[in-house]
Amino acid sequence: MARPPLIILFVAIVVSLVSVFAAFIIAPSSACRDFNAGIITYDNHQQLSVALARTTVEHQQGLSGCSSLPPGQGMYFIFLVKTDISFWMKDMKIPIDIVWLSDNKVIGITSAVPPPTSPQAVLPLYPAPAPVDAVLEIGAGEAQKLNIHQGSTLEISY
Amino acid sequence: MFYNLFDPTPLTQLHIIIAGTSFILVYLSLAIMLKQPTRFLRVVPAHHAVYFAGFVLVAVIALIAFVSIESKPLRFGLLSAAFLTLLIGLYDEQYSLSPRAQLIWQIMIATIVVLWGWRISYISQPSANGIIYLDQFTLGPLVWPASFLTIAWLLLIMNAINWLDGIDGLAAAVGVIALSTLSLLTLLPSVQDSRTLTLSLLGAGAVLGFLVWNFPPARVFLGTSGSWFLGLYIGLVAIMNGGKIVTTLLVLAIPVVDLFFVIIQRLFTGRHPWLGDKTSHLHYRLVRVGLCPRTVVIVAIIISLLLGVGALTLQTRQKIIAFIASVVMLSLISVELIWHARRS
Repeated sequence: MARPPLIILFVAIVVSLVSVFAAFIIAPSSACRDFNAGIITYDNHQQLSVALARTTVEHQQGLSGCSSLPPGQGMYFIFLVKTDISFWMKDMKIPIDIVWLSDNKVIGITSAVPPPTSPQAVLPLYPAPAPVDAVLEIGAGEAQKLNIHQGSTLEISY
Repeated sequence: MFYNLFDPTPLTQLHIIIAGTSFILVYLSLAIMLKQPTRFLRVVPAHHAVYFAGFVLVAVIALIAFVSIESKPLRFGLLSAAFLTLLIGLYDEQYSLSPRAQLIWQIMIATIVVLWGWRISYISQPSANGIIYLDQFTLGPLVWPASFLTIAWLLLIMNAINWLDGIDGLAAAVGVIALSTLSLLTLLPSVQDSRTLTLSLLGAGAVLGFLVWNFPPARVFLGTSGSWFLGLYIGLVAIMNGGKIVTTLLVLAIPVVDLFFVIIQRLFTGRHPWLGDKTSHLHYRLVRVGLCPRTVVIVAIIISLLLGVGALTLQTRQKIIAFIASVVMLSLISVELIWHARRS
């Protein structure tokens, strides 16, 4: 048998290292979240495409670190049980509207919540008006533009 | 019963095109390759020319999956793992890596896909109709315990498929059934998962194209690159959009049970658990008692199909019971065959 060409293993090691390195650099920064994970249909059959936050880690991450949120997109938080919850804007870079939902109905909207002015700033809490089982985050001013108001019906499919 | 079982809403023309394209690409590539015999990747001890052709399967699946996965990190993760599997697999097919080196490379491949964001974030809870979240807290780019369970899961399926690849057509046939079952699972009214459907149909088409040439008597082998990648791919499709772990385990009961059985046997007889042999595996034992390879493959196909039907029709808790039942049955067959070997 010919002498094994160690160059193949060497290339494999280089590929691994490059891929691991790239995973650290690209994975967190690319397109921030997957905004095609779910579709929200609301009054008059209008639609929004949303990223989903289902797990504790996803809830904590939310839209942190995202530097833009195009119109028509948002993040949908799903809670297993109705929860009296407060959101904060840790590591957020963009202002948002927080739409509070219970049984697919909008029970309140906290509009134009600003991102923290500096990483060290004391973070204000934004409480839900009543226990919620889902929360929708969209760009600031979008709720009014899209005519999402208290009592609107929002249904998610994913 | 089956007429009412599925809701084909997620199925689009694009899915059929993707599955058909992958089948035709693999089938034709192999046909062309076999028409022009070369020394490249030829398996030496064979009566008629047989080739290691796993690389065709890896290339077709990885490239089509790369363009069909929407999430950028996930698709780069799959592509780099596929490329690495290809390099290490081709090396092993020609120059044989030690079992330890193989395991280290498998861990490397599984870790890379997990670093790129593939993980089992949640599984359904068997005792209630709830969900168990596996994302508890983050450790840098990894998430505890989801990322670590995912690495273990991928290693399990990669090795199960690799070890099953001892008889012509066996691993590819079981692979086609596993991926087809996952495709049908996504069409259940309670699942409706268009992304997993794309990946599983693409895989099923490609592996079926391979199976035509891999069915006994085989003209092509999966080799290390093909069997590692097939295992990795099934493992990834199963976790693409929420865990389909129990379903996958149930369809893959034969290789998974055999994997554990062979490890236990080797440990009991004082051998290295990862050192291969031509006797321990269930399929080798079946051939030794007089079944021809083709019969073994057909029996495995029938059992896997039955398990697949079970995976589609049962609830999670019943699936676990079915899995335990098949573990017991396959274990009894294995033990009987071991005694048979001792007696003769």
